[in-house]
Amino acid sequence: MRAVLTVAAVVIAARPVAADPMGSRVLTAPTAWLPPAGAATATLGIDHRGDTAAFVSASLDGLAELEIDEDGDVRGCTDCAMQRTALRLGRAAFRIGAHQDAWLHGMPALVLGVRATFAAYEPAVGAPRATDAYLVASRDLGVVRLHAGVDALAASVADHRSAAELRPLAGVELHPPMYPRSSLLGDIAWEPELEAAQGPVLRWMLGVGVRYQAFSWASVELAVRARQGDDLGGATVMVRVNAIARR
Amino acid sequence: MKHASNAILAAVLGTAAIARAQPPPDDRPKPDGASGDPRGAAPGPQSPPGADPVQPGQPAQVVTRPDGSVELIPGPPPPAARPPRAHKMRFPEVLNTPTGWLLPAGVLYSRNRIDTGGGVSSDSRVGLGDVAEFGVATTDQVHERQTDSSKEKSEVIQPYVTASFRLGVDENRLFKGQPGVTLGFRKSFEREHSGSKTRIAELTLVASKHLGPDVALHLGGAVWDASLQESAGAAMPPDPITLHGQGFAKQLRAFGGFEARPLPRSEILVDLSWAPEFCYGCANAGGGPAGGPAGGMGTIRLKPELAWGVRYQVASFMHIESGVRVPDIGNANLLDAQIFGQITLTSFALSDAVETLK
Repeated sequence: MRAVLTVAAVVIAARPVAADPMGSRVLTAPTAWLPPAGAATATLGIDHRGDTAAFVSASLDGLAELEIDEDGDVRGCTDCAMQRTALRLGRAAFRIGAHQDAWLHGMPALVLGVRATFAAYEPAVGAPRATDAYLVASRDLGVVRLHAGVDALAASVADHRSAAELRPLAGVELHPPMYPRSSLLGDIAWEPELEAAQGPVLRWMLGVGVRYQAFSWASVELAVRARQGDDLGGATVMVRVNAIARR
Repeated sequence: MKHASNAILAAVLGTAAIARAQPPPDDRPKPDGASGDPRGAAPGPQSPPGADPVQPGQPAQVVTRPDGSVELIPGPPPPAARPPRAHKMRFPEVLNTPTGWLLPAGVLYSRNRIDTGGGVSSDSRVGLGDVAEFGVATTDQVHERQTDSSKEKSEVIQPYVTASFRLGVDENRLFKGQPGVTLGFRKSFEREHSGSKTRIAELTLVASKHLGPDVALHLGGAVWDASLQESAGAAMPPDPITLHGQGFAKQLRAFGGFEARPLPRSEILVDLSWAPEFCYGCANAGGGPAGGPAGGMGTIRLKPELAWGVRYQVASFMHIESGVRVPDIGNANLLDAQIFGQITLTSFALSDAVETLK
C-alpha cells in the first residue's frame, strides 16, 4: 500500500509535460500515447526467425488512432509437442483516449483500445482469431516512463472459442540523461497461443530492449522477447524501425 | 473635284480625330461642368465637397431642373449582397442508430463503411424540405447462423438493401427546448440467401437534444419486424416465421446515443443499437402460425450492438469516422468485435442551387 501511495505521489508531483511522447507500444505492451493530430506512423520489424511485423497508423485529430498491422505475435500449433509457429494475422486497432494532464493535473495519459483480427495469412491452424480490449495508463516522469493497464483477451481456433480473460499489462522506459537519444525498454504482456486440439491458451511475453532515436522522425529498436513455456533458446531477438510523419 | 475630295478627306479625318478624342460612351449621363450646367458658364447650386449624393455603384436618377441644370438624385440602394449561407449539418445517424435530426433540405449524404468482420455498407440520403429525408442503403447488420451453438460465429448477410423515409421537426422549432424528433421507417427488399427468404422492417421514433453546444443525447424506441421463410424454393414452402408473431415485447427495443465534441473538428460518438439475426437451425418456441409451429425450426432474434468511435472533419464536405462495434454485447462477445472505418460525404450544392432559385 505504501509503495502504491509513493508511486501515486511521484506521478502527481512529476513535472508537467508539454506533449505526450510517441509510440503506441513499448515492445509488446500498448502505451497510452496517442500520435498528434495529422500524424501518421509506420513500423517495420523482423526477428531472427524471419517473422516480420508491420504497423501503420493514422491519428484522428489527436483524439484517437486507427492502426492496421500484420505480425506473428500470436502462435499456434496442431501438434503441440512440436515447436509453435507464428501465425501471421492481419489486425486492426482503434485507440481512443486522453493525453497527460488533460482533465486534471497529474493525470496519466489514458487509452481504451480494441484490436481485432481481420485476416490470417497462411495459418498453420484453422480459422485463428484473436481480439483484445485494453485500458492502459501512461505517465512521463522525466527519466522514467511508466505504463500499466489491464487487457481482456479472447481468441478462437477451429471450433474452440475462449471467453475474454483479464490480464495485466506493464511497461517501463528509462531515459538516462547522459544518453538523450537512447532509452531502455521493458514490458510484459499476454498473447494467445492457439492450440488446435485444446483451444486458445494465454501466455505471457516478456520483452527487454533498447530504442535509439536516430532522427526526430525515426527510431530503431533492438529487443529480446521470451514467452511463457519457452526455454531460453526459444527467445527471439528482433529489430524494429519506427517512423512518424507529421502534417 | 479634286478640291471637293480634299475637303471630304479633311472632314473625315477631322471627325475621326474629334470622335477619338471623346471619352467612351457611358450608360450614365454625366453633368457637364462642375455645376452640371450644360452650358458650363452659369454657376449653379453646388454640392459640398466630399458630399456627393451618389455613391459609386449606386443607381441614380437624372432630373432636369427648370433652369436647365441637371441633378442626380440617388435612387434606392441596391439590394445588399446576400451573405453566404451557413451550412448547418446535422447527421442523421450517430454510428448505427438514427438521430432526431434530419438532413437539411437538398443536402446529399453518402456514407460508406468497411469493417474487420468483412462487412461493407453504404447509405445514401437526401434531405427533403427540412422536414423529411429519403435514403437507400445496404446494411451489414443483418446476421444469419445455422445453429444455436456458441461455437458458431454468425455470418453477415450482405448486401442487404433497405430503403428508408424519415420525417420530423428540427430542434427548438416548435418551442424553445424542444428536442429534434424524427419518425422513421426502414424496410428491406426481400433477400434470398442459403435457400431462405428474409425481410426486415423497423419503425423508429427518436428524440435528440443538445446539452450545451458540444454535447448531444439521443434516445429512441424501435418497433422491429422480420420474416424468415425457409426452403423458399420448395414446391410447398412452410409458412414464414415472423417477429410480430412472437409478441410485441419481442419487437420493441430502446436505443440511444451520445455525442461530445472535445475538439472543434472531432466528435466522440457512442451508441447502442439492435440488429436482427436469423437462425435457420434453431428450434423456435412455436405458439402460432406466425411464430412458427411448436418444435419447428427457425428463429429471429434481435441482438444488441454497442459502438463507439470518433468523427473527424477532414474537409467541409468530408468526415472520417472510425471506431469499434461489438455486435453481440449481450453475451459480452469480445471476439466478434469489429474495427470499422467509414467516410461520409455531404454536399450542399443542390441545396444552394435551390436556395438561389428562390
